[in-house]
Amino acid sequence: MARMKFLCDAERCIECNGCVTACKNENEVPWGISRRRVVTIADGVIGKEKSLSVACMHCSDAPCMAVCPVDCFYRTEEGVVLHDKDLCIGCGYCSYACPFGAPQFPQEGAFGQRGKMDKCTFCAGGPEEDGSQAEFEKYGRNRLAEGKLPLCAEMCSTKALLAGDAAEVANIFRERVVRRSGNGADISGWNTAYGKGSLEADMKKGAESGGGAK
Amino acid sequence: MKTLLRMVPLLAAAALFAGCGEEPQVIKYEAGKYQGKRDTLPWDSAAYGGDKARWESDMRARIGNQNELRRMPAD
Repeated sequence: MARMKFLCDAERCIECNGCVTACKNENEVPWGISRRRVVTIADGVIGKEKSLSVACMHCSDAPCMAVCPVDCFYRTEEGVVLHDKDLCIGCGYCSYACPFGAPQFPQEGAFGQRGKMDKCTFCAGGPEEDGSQAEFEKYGRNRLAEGKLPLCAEMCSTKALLAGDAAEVANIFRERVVRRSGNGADISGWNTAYGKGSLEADMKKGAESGGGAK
Repeated sequence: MKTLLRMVPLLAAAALFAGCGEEPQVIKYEAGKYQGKRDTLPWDSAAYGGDKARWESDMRARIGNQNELRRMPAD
């Protein structure tokens, strides 16, 4: 279990927002914060619409960790990027550094000043005693310590969102792509990650291989 | 004139090799040293009592369960 990662299969995501709801409910995330959200591109365009569930990607070289002035971030042995809320000063640097918009801040007080940063924890809690009330209140549930995966992925009805060890998740995705007659860059995940330069080119390729969005 | 012509390749070589001495211009970000509280490992929880192998085995099973192609028989 070297690197815990999320992978969202754009061909399967149906934008049901089940992952968003599951995360909010499981972790009792405060108002105004969505640790996970579903992003849709080409919204409403028939045959071209695609959705992706996005949260903290638990980067191997996390920019939030690099820019934090109080060094409140750490990476666990399983590769999950977490932070200590007792140390966070709510400066927002991590929010500007993150390419996924994962760090979010509750609006606190009459003047709307920023509170301490909140983000996806891969359902791994934080630096408090595992399963304690303090951990739950600050960071949410620690499902990893219970031998479970993040609820967003486990709740996903179409299994578009996968979570777990990067190698095993990649194997699941590869098997899936091979089965829907994908090949080459589809199998390696290159096209999923980077596309072919344009949505039209992707759609054309998908139509040719018979594995594109219908 | 001859000396000048002899100098041309030398000057061209010097101009080309000048590029090798360039320092990388990209800033290298380095994460600071974590200053917060120590976290416990997931297998040190009450459910696993430090049994890392059992935790990993349970996690692997859970990850595998996300693959419906393996859960269902092939058609």
